Amino acid sequence: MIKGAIIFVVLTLGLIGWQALSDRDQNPNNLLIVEVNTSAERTGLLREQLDSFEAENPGLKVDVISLSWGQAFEKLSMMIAGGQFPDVIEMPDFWLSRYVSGGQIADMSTFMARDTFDADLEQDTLDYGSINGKIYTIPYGYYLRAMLYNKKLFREAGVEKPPLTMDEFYQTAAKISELPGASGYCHHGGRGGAVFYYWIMTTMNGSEKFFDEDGNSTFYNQGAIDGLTLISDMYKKGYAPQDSLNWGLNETVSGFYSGTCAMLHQTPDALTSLRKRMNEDDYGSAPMPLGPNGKSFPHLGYIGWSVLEKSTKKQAAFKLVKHLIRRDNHEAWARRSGLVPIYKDIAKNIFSDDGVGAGWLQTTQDDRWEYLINPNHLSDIAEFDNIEVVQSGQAMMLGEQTPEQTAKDWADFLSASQKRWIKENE
Amino acid sequence: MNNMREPWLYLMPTLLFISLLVLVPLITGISYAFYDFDLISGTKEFVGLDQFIRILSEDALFTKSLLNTLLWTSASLFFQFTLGLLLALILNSGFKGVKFVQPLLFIPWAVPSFLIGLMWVWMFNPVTGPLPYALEAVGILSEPENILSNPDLAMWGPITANVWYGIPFFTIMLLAALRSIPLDIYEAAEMDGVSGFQAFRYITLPLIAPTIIITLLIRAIWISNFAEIIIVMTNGGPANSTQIVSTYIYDTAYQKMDFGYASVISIALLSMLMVYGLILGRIRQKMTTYV
Repeated sequence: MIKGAIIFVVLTLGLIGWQALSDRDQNPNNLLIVEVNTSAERTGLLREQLDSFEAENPGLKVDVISLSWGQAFEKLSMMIAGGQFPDVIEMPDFWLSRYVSGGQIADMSTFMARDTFDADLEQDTLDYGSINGKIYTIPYGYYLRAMLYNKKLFREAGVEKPPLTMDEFYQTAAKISELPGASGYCHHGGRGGAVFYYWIMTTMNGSEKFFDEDGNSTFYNQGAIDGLTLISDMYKKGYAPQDSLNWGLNETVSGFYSGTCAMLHQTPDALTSLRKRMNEDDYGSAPMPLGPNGKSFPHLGYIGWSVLEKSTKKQAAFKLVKHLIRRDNHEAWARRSGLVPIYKDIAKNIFSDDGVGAGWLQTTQDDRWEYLINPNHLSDIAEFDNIEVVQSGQAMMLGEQTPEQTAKDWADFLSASQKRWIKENE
Repeated sequence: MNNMREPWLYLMPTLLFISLLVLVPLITGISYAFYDFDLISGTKEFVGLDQFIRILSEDALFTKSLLNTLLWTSASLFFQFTLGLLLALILNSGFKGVKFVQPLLFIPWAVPSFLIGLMWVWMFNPVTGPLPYALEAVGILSEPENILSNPDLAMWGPITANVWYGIPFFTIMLLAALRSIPLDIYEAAEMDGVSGFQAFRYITLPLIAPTIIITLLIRAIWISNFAEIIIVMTNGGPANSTQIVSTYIYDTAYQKMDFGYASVISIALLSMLMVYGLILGRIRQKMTTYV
């Protein structure tokens, strides 16, 4: 009975949504924007910014479809495959190449260039959203990694400051793990955790490059293997909680605020939930530790706005994207969603407001830290991140396969994919 | 001649409707198996039997997920059935307050499976849930660890959640069957001096056997196709130790976006379930001809 009722409600909602879509096509002045990283609070902010867009552009109206993150990819693919084309969509970095190679995304190059933006723009912002020199997405903020650390546990273990080098990272984790019931590092072993391996491999290898010029992956370089050996060694010695092997995002954050583990590799949006649960004096953030050559390559992910190639109102859609990343709107957006903004000066404003953002502030302003960008041009990068690395990374931590073998498997996967890409784009 | 054709004419609308609704999607889905198919770009390349050869010869993960499916299905089914039967017998005894208790026991069946997964993830988490400590206290675990991260035990996490979810289904079905047994049979048996267990063994069990078989058949197929709880709780991990065929299909279709190969795996699963269905159908036929 209840199941029947649920099915009925879902069907009705589906019909309403479908009806809304077909209505829109009858009205040439309505734009449709699809958000995928939805939360109630953020949808409110988006709506505010869309309202101001409507006020500034009389005659244009914008409708929003909010998808939940977990099923967004399926739903959006189905919408597009079914011939329902939104005008603007929210585009995570790891989807970009799939949509671009499918010919679904409009090139913004004629509409936006470097001089559209203020001088303090992070210098590679436009490159991040580009494939083969064409701009397909404009990031609305950065998911940059830094290290959160639990000051209370650090004090108890007699460690004075967060680790600056990889050696210190190891030693600190070892010392904290001597405390009863605590581990040094919150390992994110489940889905979403792949970028930690990329950080430790590239940083130990001393270069942020994923490939050499012939398209061979750097993951099988000795430095990269050393990186994997280091982390699997830490796990085996118990410097990370045993069950962190399959932790997802929520488990790592709860592991951190409950004091189960003392160091957390995270993006700044985690601060929103930590602020509610931890005393501000009990935790802080630091940049990711430096590798042997004095450099570190924290991962930077981004989500942006893209315009669909099949949109019938492209000019208006470009205008809308421009409106959403306008400086004032962007600052409000980055602040409320807890992201690193695309403008350096805004980053200063946001992260110097309180002590806990220090790690991100330093990462954005200090040259020793360079950003690590996933090879998002590869169409199977999402598969690599979410399946390949997660499952074989877990097998490595369990001792079922050696770090060297793991590094080789990953390098083989990436090299093959990169070489395919080079061939297709010659 | 006209007489022969007439019934078919009446049936035609229904037949058309059924074939459009059932057969067309099924055949479309199966046809994907012969293509290298990308949903977003819409490119389809005919590859013939290549993907079937791949699943039979070089896909070790398929074999592993098949074995995991066996454990997942048989363990879930066994506990759902035995506990469901027990519950149905208790409810059927008609103790005081049964009218109040009965609806409560059916609540799990109404909870969305994603919510069930999330709920049990937190129950198994040593930071937020009581289960690791309870398991340690009774001596099953040597320390309060999260079994979802232990490749040897991880499968039992989703199985527990699935058992909790599926018991009411068996209870409902079996209770209905139990209540349909005429009481005078028991009265006659009592006069013949039959013990409680004998009554259960020789009267109750044979009379509800057809229901048991059919519910087992349906549930086994449901459970082996049921991926949500595993996706939410472990995502097939750690190191593929909870990967079942249907989660593997989901990953292949929606993470790797390889609809062609996902269709091949689905066909493999479908054919195995059909064989299983035929066998159970036979058993059922034999059991119902008891007179």
